[in-house]
Amino acid sequence: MRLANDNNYRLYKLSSLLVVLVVLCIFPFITRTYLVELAMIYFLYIILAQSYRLIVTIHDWQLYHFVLYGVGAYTSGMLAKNLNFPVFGAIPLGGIMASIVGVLITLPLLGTEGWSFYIASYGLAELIRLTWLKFRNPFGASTGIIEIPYPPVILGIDFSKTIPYYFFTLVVMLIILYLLYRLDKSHIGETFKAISIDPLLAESTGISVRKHRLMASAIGGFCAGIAGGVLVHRLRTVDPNMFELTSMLYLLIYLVVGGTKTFWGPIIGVGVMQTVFEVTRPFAQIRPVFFGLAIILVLIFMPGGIEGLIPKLGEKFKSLLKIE
Amino acid sequence: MDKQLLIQTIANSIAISGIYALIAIGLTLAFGVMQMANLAHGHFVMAGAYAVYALYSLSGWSFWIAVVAAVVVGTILGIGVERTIFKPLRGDVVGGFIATAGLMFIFEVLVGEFWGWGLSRPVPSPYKYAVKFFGAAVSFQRILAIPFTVVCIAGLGFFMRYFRLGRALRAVSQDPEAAALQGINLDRMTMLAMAIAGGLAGVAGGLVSVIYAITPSLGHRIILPALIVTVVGGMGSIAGVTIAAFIFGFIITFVTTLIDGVAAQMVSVTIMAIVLAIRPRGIMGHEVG
Amino acid sequence: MKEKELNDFQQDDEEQIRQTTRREFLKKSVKIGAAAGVAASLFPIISSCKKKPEEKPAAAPAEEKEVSKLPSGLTEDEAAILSMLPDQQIGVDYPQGEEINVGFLGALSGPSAGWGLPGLTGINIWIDAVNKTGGLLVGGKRYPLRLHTFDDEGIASKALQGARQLVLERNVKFINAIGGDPANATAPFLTEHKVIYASLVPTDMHPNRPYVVAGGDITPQCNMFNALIAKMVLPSEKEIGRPLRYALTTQEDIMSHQVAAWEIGAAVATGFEIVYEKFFAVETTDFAPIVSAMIATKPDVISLCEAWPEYQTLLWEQLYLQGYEGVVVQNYADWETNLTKIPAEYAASVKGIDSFPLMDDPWWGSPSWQASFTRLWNKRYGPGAPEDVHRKMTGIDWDHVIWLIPWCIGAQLAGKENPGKWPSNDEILEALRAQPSFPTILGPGHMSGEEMFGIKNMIEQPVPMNMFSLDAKDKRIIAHLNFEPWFQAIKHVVIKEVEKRGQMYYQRK
Repeated sequence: MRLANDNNYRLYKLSSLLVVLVVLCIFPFITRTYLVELAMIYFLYIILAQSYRLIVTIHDWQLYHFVLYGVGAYTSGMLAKNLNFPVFGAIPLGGIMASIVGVLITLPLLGTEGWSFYIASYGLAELIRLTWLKFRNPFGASTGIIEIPYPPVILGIDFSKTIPYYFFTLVVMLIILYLLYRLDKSHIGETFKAISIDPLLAESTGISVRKHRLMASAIGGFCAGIAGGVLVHRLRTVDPNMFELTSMLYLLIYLVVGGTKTFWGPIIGVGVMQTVFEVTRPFAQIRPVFFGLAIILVLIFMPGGIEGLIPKLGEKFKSLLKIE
Repeated sequence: MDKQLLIQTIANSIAISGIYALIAIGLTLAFGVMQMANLAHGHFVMAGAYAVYALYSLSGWSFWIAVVAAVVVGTILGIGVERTIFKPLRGDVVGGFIATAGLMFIFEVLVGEFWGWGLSRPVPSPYKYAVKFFGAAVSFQRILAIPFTVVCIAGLGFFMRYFRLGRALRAVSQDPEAAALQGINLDRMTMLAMAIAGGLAGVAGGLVSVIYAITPSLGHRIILPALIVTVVGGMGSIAGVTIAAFIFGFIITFVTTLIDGVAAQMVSVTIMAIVLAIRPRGIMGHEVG
Repeated sequence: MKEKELNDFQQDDEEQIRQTTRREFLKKSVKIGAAAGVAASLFPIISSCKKKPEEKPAAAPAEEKEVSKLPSGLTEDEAAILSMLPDQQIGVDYPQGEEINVGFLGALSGPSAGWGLPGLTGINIWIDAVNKTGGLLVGGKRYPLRLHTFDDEGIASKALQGARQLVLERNVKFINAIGGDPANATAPFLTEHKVIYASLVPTDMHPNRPYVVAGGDITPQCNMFNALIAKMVLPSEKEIGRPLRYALTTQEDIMSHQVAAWEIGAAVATGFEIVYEKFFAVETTDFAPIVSAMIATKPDVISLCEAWPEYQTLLWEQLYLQGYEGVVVQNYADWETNLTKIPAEYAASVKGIDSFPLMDDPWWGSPSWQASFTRLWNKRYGPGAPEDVHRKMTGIDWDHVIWLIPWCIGAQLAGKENPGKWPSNDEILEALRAQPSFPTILGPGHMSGEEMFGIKNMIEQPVPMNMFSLDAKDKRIIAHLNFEPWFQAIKHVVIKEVEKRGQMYYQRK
């Protein structure tokens, strides 16, 4: 009996995923161009949130993640523009660069925790951002890098157009999500979970917490960097102003609201909060108040985030299934 | 650097160090007691500054009475934040930190909506002259910060040594569990700590209102140097914070004069990173963990 | 045994705290909310008891009255500001055309909001005046205008999103913007859709951006004239036996390097020796060391270039406190704030030269377009008005209309060629370029810009230069200067300096 229900549940999960996938594929052909572009923004934020979650769970709420997004953007943009690197080759290199920078930033942070950790992570991220701001050569100072090349035409598909690039972004996001999901379920993922629950205990069983945290920074940084590369070849410009503390805090809010315990939390967080962000455009001036209030209320009343509510809904749904 | 510029730069450094110290003391005190810092501390300072703007600049109250009002505003804000945010989230370091980040957004919008975005609000300087010594000129307004900082530190020290409440506060910041065992009401202590921190922020805001530009983004600009100073000085240590304030006051001023402001920020962040790598608890902080 | 009891005691305590926290939170938050509400409602009462009287605008002639033959609701002042349109034919009926959408893409929140948000007031005044007459008369039809805004927070990625929304969803044809990196991000898209982007940053203009226009901000022309005027008020090189020295500082932002380069070029062309040229970080709060470093170079002129209003106040304070004696020039001086920190006598002693004139400067005279605009602004946005913005009118309030109005003029001119439909932006720009002169807020203007920016997309107008007046305790126009002839005389020297700094349009990569 139980086995049949479990299979039902698994089937249900898979089929709903498939439905979502199909919708995402049809979506760009049936809606307005603006919404397709908007969807790409969601996809990039999901990559950022998911990779941030990795580091958050195993280590702490670092404040440098958004700047790694920028590292990927700057690297990919500069390679493509100044060295005429092919775009689709530059993006992975942006990811690698962000990964390296992430590890370098984390090294000095390993000895700190709590408040010192947060401030230091922010400080180091600012250092990178200030480097872009200070040096006109090669980073362009406040102007940044402009006229970054579009991706080329491949097999007759022009990736400078909206719909092809939408699919490119979608594919990149799905690949990253899949890899992170497999990681979550893998042996290493189990180790990560053990460390996130009780680092001291894990350390005492012989797991090197240090090594795993650095690994998480590397992986998380890589994903953020890739997202930066994907962003920058659509936007064609990048400047230090895009990676300020406020943007980092918004990403953090998305993650807290969504929840970090499960894999789906960040996706829910981005989905809900980014939509709130867009929908409150008429109130742009006072919008930060909503976000500030939201985060405070969530922290006090709903510390598990929205995903914390899902199991309760899931239970109700499961009991409905059983009644059948 | 010629001698005249050197003297002037030293004078500038001393003046700004006093301001950094005044802003950071409240932050570190609250942390020492609650193990949680108020990321919106810079915004409390801003609230104090706007209070002085509203009462002194707009309504014509006496400057010093306006500063007292700023202290009251800061204290109320401190208690309010403690009751609504820090108490429910006690022990949750991450939660407290994120919640105060949310506070930052709220404050900025409230201030902007109420007193206008855009160009900064003018707060007339009650003392428009400069103090000259050895050929260097420093605004009297800024020099004021130093005696204020000294009085605040001395006052706090006195309070924490000779008053029962003060000693209780010190006990809690050294070891909360042991303090609770002694019958000290943790609840009341955290409220007291935040009240004092808020009050100190109010004083800082009042003094700073005539020195800095009063815009809704003032909170943002103030908090980073304050955080660097607090972290390097040692979270919870007033002496450490004062020392760090002077170190950074000098470094930032000299680098700005010799190179530029962006370089000065980069240097201070790098120094902070190095200090943390070598000695994570800061110059005079308690043991971490 | 004791330990266990104490542990239980602690756990019970924690339980209690957790359970009561939520209930208490609700109770306490209601109490605090009520207290905050009471406190918040006290503030407006307190702040409205101002002791200082409001400064009245200098020219205040008879109040606007509704003339019976004008369309309903149109005041005399509104008719006055519409007078810039060559062919509005107020009161004459014409068939209605479709709504024409105009966009505003700039920072409406966050730290850069000061440059964007105020701009909406001027745009609204203009658009409402036009609409009260039935719409802009173009090619025999009246087209009402409609404004759509998008807050890009000054961030390039959001600006591109905003451009897409404004163009694809709202069908705007003209976008008012602040410019900077948002211009870089939006240019390819807007060029593809042929939508004009009117930037406040002149260096956004580039030959490969046919629809980016600027110049309304009279930058960098006014900066260049700063050097000229400073030269005129100082003793000559011959008199003091050495070259005159020029020091410049401003914040590091998207256009400061370009504007500074043009100003330095003009200073060099005028015979100055450049002794200080540095940029400070946007996060700077302490300006003492910067001013100390500048004074150490013993300059005859200190230029604050295009320092933001809050920075220039603090710079002025330091200049006064550290006893600078020379000439101070800048792009925009905010005397209301500055005079709270420095005595008026000091400002007068260092001349206090800037641009961005006051709309109620007696120079404009009355009746005048400026006087009418000022009255309309105060009536709608001034103290006690229905949309009171709690501040005095600033340069930004009319900065964005400087290009909006010529666009309307161009539409009318182009509409004459092809009546019956709204002209394309290409036609509008061509119509403007063909005019030897058309009216702008600052005087008769024409299109220019090939030599400075590589494309004829810049409005060039007479540049008003101000000096601080001790009597008025504010800025007053002292001259209205023609840029073109002077530029032709000095351009070789200037362009060389700009090139040296890598700021010419063909060097921007």
